[in-house]
Amino acid sequence: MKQRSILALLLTAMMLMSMVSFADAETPSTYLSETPVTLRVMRDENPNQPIKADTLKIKTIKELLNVDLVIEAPPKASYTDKKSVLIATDDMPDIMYVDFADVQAYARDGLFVNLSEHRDEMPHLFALLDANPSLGMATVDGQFYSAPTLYRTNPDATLSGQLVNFRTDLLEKYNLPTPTTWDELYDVMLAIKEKEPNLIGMTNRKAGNTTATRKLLDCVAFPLGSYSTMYRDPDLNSGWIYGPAHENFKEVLKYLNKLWAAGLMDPDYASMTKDLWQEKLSSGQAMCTIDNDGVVRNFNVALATIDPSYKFGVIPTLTNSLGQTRNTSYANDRPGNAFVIPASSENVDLAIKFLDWCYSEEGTDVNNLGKEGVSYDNVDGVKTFKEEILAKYAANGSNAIYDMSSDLGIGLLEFTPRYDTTPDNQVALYLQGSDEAREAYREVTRSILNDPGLIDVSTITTAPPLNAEQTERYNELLIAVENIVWQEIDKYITGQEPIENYDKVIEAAKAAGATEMEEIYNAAWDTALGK
Amino acid sequence: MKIKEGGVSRTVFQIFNYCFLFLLMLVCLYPLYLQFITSISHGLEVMKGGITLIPRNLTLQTYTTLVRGELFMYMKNTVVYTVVGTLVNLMMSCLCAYPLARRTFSGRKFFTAMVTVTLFFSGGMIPMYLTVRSFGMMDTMWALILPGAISTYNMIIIRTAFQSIPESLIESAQLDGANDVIVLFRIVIPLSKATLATMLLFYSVTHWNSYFDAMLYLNKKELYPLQIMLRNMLIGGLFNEETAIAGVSADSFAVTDATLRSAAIIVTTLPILIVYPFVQRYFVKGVMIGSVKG
Repeated sequence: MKQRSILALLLTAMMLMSMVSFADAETPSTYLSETPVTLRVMRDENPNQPIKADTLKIKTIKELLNVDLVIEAPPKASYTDKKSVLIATDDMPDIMYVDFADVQAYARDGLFVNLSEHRDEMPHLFALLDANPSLGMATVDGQFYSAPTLYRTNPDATLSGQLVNFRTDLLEKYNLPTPTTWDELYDVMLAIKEKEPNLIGMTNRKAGNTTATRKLLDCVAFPLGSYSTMYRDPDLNSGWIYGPAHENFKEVLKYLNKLWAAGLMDPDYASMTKDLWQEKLSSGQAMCTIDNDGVVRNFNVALATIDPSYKFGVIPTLTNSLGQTRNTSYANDRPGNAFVIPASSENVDLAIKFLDWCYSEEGTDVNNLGKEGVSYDNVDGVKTFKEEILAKYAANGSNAIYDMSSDLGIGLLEFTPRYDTTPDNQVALYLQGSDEAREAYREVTRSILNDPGLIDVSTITTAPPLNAEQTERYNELLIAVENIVWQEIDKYITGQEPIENYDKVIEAAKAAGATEMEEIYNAAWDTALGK
Repeated sequence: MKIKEGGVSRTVFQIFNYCFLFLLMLVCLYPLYLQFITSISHGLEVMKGGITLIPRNLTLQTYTTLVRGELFMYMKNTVVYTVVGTLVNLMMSCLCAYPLARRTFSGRKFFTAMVTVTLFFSGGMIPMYLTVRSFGMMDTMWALILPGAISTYNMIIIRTAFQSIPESLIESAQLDGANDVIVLFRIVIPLSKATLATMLLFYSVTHWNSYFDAMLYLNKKELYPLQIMLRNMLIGGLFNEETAIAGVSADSFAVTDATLRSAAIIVTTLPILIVYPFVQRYFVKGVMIGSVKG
């Protein structure tokens, strides 16, 4: 009996000791909390990439940080409604994905944690914010209430934008030179139109809530010497100006009118939809479109089924009538899409630590690549997805990137405060099939990346933070001015009004408040820069 | 003689009438047909456009893709919400309509007036949200069922149908010893089958099509109904402006946004289309009883 109890005691002691040693082994220094904590985060779900609950990312976060990440993902189509109700009822999760406009509207009411007050606890985030002074525009009264979506570059990085996509096979067929200026582009289209009168010269589309005309101007106005809304012109060193209320906008209208007069504009340009645009490009009806080059490149597959030689290619940035060679590329950092920590959260401290971790190199790796050794390999700092993973999803064709990202829980459409385009780039390269095709693809993307004419669109359009009064006044003026300008544009494109008369529109826009809008922006800009 | 004269003009009228109705039918069916042929055509052909009457390059890949996703989970949720929700709706509506239909119920006018007020005024979205939350119904199916357990409009139609049952019938049942529960379940409800079948359809279609409450009250994806998925595909699903991956082979475009969207529409509409003809014969009758005798 005595022996038994000694044995029992010994066994208990051993068990206890082993538990202690286990506990030691299981509390790595990376843990954000000793006890497991559940963090609720919310972002919208894009239907292309369903957000799943037990992804490699979520498991890795649990392993590394001892955090049970629960991603609530209302559908993108209803996100604004959901977000508004949660904000109105102060029933928010621990971290929430918002627009910067929400931050501006509610931060002063104390709804969100002021991250600037936690600067010391968020070294990774603030190191990145400090490194890019233009992000200072994403503040409210000089304080960061939101953590913007930031970008990390990678060896396979590509650049995209609303670029000039042209049917390069037509240039070869008729032995025409690749245009280098907008006027040459006109000449080339005219020459092709003479040979193939049924072809449309330039086509465009409607996007989101804007009209097709507005979208067209969003794409062509900057390269032609102006812009469709408020911007800072890098060639004029102008400070903030409202593009359509300035002389240079006439150059844009003149050019479009020239195309229209020669029959080179899509006759449906003002009523185009995305579907119609897609149809015209993929059935070989149009020569040219100024749009997302990645999307347009996809139409090459459809074109190849009509004739293997048909092909859209990107033309390097063209020089406009003012002698400027410029176009915009998509923004990398996105201060407009940000993450906030609601002050009502029960886990504010942990949310702060976790959000900061998402901006660290390790966090960025987990959020964009998954787990080292499982989904990707890291050889001397070069991170590459495992061949078997790429091969598995490549079979899903154009959905490969979404399916892979959905299963692993990675990428920009997931809960990823700092994103990296490695998955997109590596999947795109893998899908090319052969090394030869891969090299050709690299050459195309590299030439865009090295195009000196491309400017990150955020550098000319990131708005300064306005105070409540400025916001109200600005929005009021914007509606008045846009009402005047945008109902006139089509008349000038189609030549119903001679371009000389546009001076009247400029005057009317200025009288309606375009000048005051510019003053508001410039004043807010100076304030933000501490002038 | 007169009838015969009428016969010729009637025949002419009938021919035109049939032609006209046939055209009307085509106009109604065509959108659905177009979605159907889009959903079984190859994505590339849809992208090139011009599919109007005949599907091109047939493929069922869109449906296999749809099924491979979480379609069945959403479908199951919708079926559960529709069945349970409709049962609760009918039960609660009958229980409310019965006393309001009885002339012997004191305070009938007052309660009817109070109920009618809710036809015109509601608490609004945020108070509703706070109420649902404080009852602990968030993230449960009850959040979709209980707040809307009675549709006042439908309840009033049921009440009117109940009122059309002769009071003497109820009295004689009571003389035989029936209490209100027996009267309701053994006499009133069986006599109002047509109306209740119509209400069944009204309620179930509403549940089948609803997405807003689900979006508001549910955070867990595994509880989402089908319509949330469909709406997201239709509205949120336009291709992502800034990420587009270059596919390389025609095969990779067999399934596109457009074909998936069409297939989802077919899948979500089909069950209602199948059920409708069976309930339809009660439909006109049921609504008429409510209105004429009201």
